[in-house]
Amino acid sequence: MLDAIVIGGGVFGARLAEWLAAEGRRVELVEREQDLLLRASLTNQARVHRGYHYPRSFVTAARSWVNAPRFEAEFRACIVDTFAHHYAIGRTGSKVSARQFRTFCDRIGAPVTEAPAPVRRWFDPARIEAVFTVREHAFDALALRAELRRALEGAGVRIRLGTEAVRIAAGPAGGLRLTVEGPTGTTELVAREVYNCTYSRLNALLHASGLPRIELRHELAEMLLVEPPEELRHAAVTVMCGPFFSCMPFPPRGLHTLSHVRYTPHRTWADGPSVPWRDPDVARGPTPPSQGPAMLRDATRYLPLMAGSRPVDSLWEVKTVLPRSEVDDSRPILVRVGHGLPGLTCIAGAKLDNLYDMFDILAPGPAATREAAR
Amino acid sequence: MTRQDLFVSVVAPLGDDADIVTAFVEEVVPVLTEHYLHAEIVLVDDGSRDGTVDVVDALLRRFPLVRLLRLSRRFGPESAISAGLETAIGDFVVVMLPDCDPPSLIPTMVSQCRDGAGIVHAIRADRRGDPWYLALGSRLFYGLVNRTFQLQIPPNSTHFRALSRQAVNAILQVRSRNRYLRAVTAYVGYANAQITYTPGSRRSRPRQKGLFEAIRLAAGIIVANSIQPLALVAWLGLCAAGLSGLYLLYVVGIRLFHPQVAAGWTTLSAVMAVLFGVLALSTSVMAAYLARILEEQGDRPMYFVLEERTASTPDVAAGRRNVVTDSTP
Repeated sequence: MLDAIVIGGGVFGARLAEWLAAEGRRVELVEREQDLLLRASLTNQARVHRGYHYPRSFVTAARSWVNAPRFEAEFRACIVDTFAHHYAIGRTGSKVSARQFRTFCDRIGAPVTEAPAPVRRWFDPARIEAVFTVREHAFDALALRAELRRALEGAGVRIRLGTEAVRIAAGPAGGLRLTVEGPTGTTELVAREVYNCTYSRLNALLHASGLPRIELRHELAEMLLVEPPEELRHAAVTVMCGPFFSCMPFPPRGLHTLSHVRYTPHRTWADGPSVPWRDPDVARGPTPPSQGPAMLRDATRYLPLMAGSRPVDSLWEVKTVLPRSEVDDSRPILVRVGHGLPGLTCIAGAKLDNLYDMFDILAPGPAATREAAR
Repeated sequence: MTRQDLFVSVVAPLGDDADIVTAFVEEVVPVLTEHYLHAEIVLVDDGSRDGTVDVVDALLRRFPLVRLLRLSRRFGPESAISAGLETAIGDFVVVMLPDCDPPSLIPTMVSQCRDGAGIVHAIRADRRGDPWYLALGSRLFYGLVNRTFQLQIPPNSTHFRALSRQAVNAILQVRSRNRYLRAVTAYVGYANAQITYTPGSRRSRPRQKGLFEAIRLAAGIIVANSIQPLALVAWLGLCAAGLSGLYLLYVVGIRLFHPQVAAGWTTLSAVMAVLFGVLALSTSVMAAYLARILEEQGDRPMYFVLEERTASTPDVAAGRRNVVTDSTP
């Protein structure tokens, strides 16, 4: 019997598998795609959140400020820090004012300075109240993939790529029996613990196994990949805090992503025990027409130099948020120990650098936590 | 017909328009999607109390190009339009009232706008259907504002207009004068064009503007956009002060050269002439400075946005790990 199986080779699943494999425990990682970090861990803003983005959720902000340095230290080779990050505060429609933002940064202890005058001049003063410059980095998901793969190999974790977990049930000797379909056909794995880290597909396994689904909200999200104007080549801009946008480097492609609070989400739908089951990869539907033109036009109103950017491509991915986040703007990691079956833990990742919080909750040993949770 | 690679925004203020907004949107959507690659309809709810928001919610589910901006209370259609202009992202923005403006004119107005006219006004063909006092009043109003007060508001103009992005940006910079779009679009300049149309109504009984409302609107437009009445007062004060001076000379002259003057008349008259002269002069000076203050002031927020759909409220909990065990609240 294995000690643990982790389903989902995103950043959360891979780093968790490595953590679980400490002290010689036998751990396997099951990933449906042909490589690690191909879904939401790759297709996102690539921001290593230090908290500045969450002035309305103190916990998410404060924990990001604490966790980011740890993440940056652990994955030093994957961090891109060759750009300045400018946070601009919208004049109308913003849920924070410049003063509130500064007070908030002071409260979480994050340094913030007013942007230099040449940077302030990038923005339309009629629409932007203030601009702050902070240190906040990006990560390169490709480098992160290589690093995590090395770490997993070092920890002795067996990685099963192209393998989908299709069913889970109680197994012999208090363990769990996981049915997987891979390149070699259908296999049954038995483990003491199973960690479901499949993010948007969290409920797919639960549904197929007749277990209660978790209430989630999915959205089909679009980010526009642009070749930035010269000024933004070594800069990122985030306009806060409302229906605004963010343009920042996306290291895997050497371009910038443009994402917009209003235009990035295309379709949203609910998932959970109260609604009929729809596979998220089906429910997302055919790729709709790009909202890129709207993103660019709105961004140009606040930051006129965006007119000099060239749209290249759109990135699409299903993004999953917890219904509670719609109420309070926080982005917590969901950890449900013993969900449906003893030994089955469901995890929906959120901000990458917050993953250490997950270990704090699961420590000192997953088994002990499970007992405590009962 | 090929669709033009333009982004066109339609801005419409809503004030208790639950009965007509669906018909309006259903008529605008095909016009926009047939002619343009990108479009949006920005509905600004001006504190409606008749369930307009619920009706628009149903529209939001049907049409992806609809957006709703809710103001926190009623600020009036002028402020609602300003809020809509501020959030519209189109290359061209068409402002229209959902009740009476025909969407079929949008392509004509936008193409005129595109051909170089920064602003295309839609002008009422006539004032048929208006009561006589409104017809007379509007004639008086436009005569006054255009000749005496030099505002250059096209006679019989409506809210219905198409604006280029450049014109919208200019209008939004005139913060204190935003309230009356009719006047401010004239104020910012740009090449103007006009198109004539006959407003209809989606209602069987159109809402009619009352006489007092019309007078209030006319007075508001003049006071908000013109310091001419104040300048008039300043001149009047100056003239009165001058006349008082002349009267003082006259009184002194009578006292010196007239054989018989009633006792005390001269003193009384002189005191009155001096005092009224000073009074009139001060009024004149104050009117001049008041006009200057009016010209200098501005920049106060004109409205407060209650919400834009996709809202959330601040988190107050602190001191926890950023991990939860339940996906539901």
